[in-house]
Amino acid sequence: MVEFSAYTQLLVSYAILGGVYGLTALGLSLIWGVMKAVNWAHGDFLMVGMYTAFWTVTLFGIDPYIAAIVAFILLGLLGMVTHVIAIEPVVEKPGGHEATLLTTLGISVILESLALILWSPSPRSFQNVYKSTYIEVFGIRTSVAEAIAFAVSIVAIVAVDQFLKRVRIGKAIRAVSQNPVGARVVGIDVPKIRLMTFGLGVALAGMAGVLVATFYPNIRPLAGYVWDIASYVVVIFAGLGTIYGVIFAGIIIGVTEGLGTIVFSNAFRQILVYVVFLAVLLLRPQGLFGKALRRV
Amino acid sequence: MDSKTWILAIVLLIVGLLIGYFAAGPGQVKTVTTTKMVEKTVTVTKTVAGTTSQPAQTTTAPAKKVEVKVGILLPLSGGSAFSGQEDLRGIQLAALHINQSKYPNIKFTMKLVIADTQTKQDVAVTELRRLAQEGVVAIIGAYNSAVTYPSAAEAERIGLPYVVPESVSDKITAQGWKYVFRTCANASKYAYDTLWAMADIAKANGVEVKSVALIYENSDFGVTTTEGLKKYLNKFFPNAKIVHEESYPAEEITSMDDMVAKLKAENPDIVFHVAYLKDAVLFVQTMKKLNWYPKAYVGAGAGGQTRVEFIEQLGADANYAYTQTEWQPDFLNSKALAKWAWINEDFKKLYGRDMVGSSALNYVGTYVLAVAIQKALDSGANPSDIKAFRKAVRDALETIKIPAGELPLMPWGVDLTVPNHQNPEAAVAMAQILDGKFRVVWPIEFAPVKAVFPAPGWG
Repeated sequence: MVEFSAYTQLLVSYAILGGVYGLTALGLSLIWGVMKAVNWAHGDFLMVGMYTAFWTVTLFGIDPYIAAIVAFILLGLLGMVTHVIAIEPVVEKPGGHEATLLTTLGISVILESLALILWSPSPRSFQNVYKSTYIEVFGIRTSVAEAIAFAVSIVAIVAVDQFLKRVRIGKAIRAVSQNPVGARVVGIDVPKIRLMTFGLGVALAGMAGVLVATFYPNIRPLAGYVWDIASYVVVIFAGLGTIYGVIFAGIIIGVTEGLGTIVFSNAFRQILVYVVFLAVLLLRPQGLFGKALRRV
Repeated sequence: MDSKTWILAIVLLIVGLLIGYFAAGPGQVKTVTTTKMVEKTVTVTKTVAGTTSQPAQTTTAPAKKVEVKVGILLPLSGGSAFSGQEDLRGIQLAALHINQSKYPNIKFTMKLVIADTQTKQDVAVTELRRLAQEGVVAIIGAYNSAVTYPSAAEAERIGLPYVVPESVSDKITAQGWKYVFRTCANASKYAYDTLWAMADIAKANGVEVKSVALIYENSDFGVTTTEGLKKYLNKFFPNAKIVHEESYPAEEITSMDDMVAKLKAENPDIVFHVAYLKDAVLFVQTMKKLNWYPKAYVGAGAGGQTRVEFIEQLGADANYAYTQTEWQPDFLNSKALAKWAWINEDFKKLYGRDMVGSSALNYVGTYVLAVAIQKALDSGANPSDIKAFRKAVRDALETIKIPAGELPLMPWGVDLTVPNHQNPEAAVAMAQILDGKFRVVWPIEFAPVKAVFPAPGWG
């Protein structure tokens, strides 16, 4: 029987995992929730972030958290290129938002295939002190890598939220999200704002990929898949357009997952998550923290 | 959506798929003449041919050899792509050696027709049908038991011999199929040998095992191996109880804290873990995080723990883990197997490292099929009558009996004359990771070092 202290340990472990889910979902939330474009390649951008960490750490011997900054910049540029190729040409067309599903699916296949060509399917990882160094508080133990990922998750979510609320460009992003025509009327360069939003979303995905790679094994072309699925669940669970909600949704999902495995078994890991997920969708279709649309 | 949008979406998809086609390399729907290996390694192939330690070839001009097509069905993309690529290396090296007449008893040229299962059952079945249409005389495949099973069923239906060199699920050879032959051990045998090895090691170290835990990934591989462990546990550990048993989905798992916490509470003497690579690494990382280690952590079924990446990813934390292993370079230090060292040398020249279990098993499977094809040719069967020739190869496979010592690389022999075509002689060794290297610790006659039992823990 698992002791009470062990339950506390597990609760904290899964809350941290949930925080990481929040981090991986943040970029998706921005692109899907705010910009209303479906980014099917989100998991692949996470994967590119993981490889960025691998190559910068192994080739240049730099700290993985500096690699996170490198990934943020590189993936931001990659995101902007992707936007020019796959998003902007279709987003304003009738059915444009649905079309982004198809175009980003193409990007997803391209990225996975390129990863296969360039880096082979062999799984990789890099040694770092953070995953094998531990913090212990009141008998609760976690790796430094996971603790940092959790902390960065909270900081990043607060930063993005404040950016959208307080910074001029952030306000423009929200304006474009809420009413592109109105935004254009008041002089906002809508295509430029969309470009920046997509770039920022992908940059955040890249950074999340690096942070995940510091403690999660097996960097390979399909490595983003498992985190991609979690990200979609988190974003829908939180509600489209909410940024703060992502962290809470992530933690709720992480803890639910943990409870499912502790109380029942690993067979219930996903079942319990999706039961809660469906319950939230039935009771609050706008998501846990989203605002309901009103009929006018 | 308007037409331009559709065109853009379709163009992007096509570009992606085209890149994917080339990404999978020679494995995608391409016929490869194996004497040239993968085309990009032609130079290396020549080097191997020139430097091998095998006796020189006959200098008389050889008669034109019969060329026989063999279909290779492996996951060269998708979740198991890295394993499929390793398998392919073993098969290609065997075909290369056959085509270079390194085995005087085999006198035909083997042409590999390689297809990618994408780690998907439906794709494997479709690809098998395509290979059959291309005129292959037999199939070697398909790594994942869950993929091998339906594709083998299809091979049986159309009368195409199917050699299984690595998939372990018991049910593959439990159907009474006439065209399906397995050269490696099945999951039950892996389980049997795991317990046998650990019982011997515990006894040699004077440790009584009172409790065990069974942790396994929940696909065919994990389930059938664990069923075997449960079946034979009390034969080797009469006083041991199973204090914890749990399965999990290997692909989706993001945390194993719960499982390790439960194990820490139960504190079993041995944890038997049937895992792929990612989950095996994550499990050991989590054991360290929660500061617990059993007397022995044993990778059963020669899964993720037997891969070199297990050591690369965990570094020193991989030490003391046991793993079943089909093959290790340690074998070549034994008197019985030293004569096969040239094969590993050739592999090293091509790929810069030693063979591993997967490549060695697939090498052996290819060799066994080649012996059978030669037998079929010797019996007078005509390869141009494809249907009759497949039947002749099947009949020849059913007569294959190669004693231990005559089979390349392995310490065991092959006997496919048994009714279910499951080689009863295949066995699995046990290795322990010591100082960052796989060292064979069982069977004792192939073990250059003694196992460390119990493990010292995290310290």
